[in-house]
Amino acid sequence: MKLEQGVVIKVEGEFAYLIPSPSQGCEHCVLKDLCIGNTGGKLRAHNLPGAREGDLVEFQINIARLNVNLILLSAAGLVLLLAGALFGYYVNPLGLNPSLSGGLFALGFSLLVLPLARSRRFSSEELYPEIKRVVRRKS
Amino acid sequence: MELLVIFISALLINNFVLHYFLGICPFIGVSNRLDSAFSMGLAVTFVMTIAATVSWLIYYLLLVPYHLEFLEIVSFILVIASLVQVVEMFIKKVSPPLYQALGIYLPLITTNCAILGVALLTVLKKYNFIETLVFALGAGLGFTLAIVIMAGIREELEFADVPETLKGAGITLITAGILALAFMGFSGLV
Repeated sequence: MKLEQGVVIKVEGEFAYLIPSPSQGCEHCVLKDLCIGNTGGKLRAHNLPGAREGDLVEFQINIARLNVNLILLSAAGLVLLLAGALFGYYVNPLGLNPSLSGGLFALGFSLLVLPLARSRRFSSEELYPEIKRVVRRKS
Repeated sequence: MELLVIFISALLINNFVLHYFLGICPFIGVSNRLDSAFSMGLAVTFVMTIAATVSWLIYYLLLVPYHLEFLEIVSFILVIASLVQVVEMFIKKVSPPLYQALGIYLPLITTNCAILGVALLTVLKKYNFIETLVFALGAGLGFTLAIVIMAGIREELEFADVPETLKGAGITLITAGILALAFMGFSGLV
């Protein structure tokens, strides 16, 4: 997995806040102006090597794990939406217009994703990026 | 069978990116890396399906009965923008790490014309509710397929000996053109 660079701006216990440096790949990206590194936004990361404020560090985002979570969340939402729509449209327990019933049940069923989303899996601190090494200490 | 035809058609034959040329901005801009492209595709699929569903309900249950069809585009844009905000708040609340890494894609979805295109086309094609849902899902997955294929090719292109003048946007657009030609091969499928 690709390593990115950034400068630590604050250390808080086991975590450090850093501002990522735009990489070469950012040059042609349409999101360049919105991106964290270009808007002064900060990233929260595990501070494994004990970096201090002002240090230039290399960090890694575990995008594969994040993608698995994104798939779970969006797939669950979509499956529930489809199930609700089919149930409302074809079974129509309220006796409404089938499309209206499908829509109401689709939106209602999709709210069932909320209990799933409360799972610790999605808010786990292990998902935050990890600082792998200090490239240059602040002089 | 009809639903399957709509799904396959939106996914492959009338692919929103490679047939209608909608959503080109994120298609070109966020296809540098396979993982980011996949995340973007999933986020678009999710928002596209919900946006098309809600837009359909608003059109047929609110705009048509009150003869307000001329507000179609305005209301659909409002629906998409609001939904993206809701999804953004939801992800920020339930998964701060996910929001930190992928939240950046969400503002770009608001301006993705493919999403508005799906909502408008469902009205134009006079789809019923279920057909709208299947069409939007197929269109979203088609977008994901196109952007992931493009990202895979672009990652390989980094090792290719591309002439200096074609590097960057040039070779990307040529690749997109060839990909669109390849997808034309699906036109006889259904």
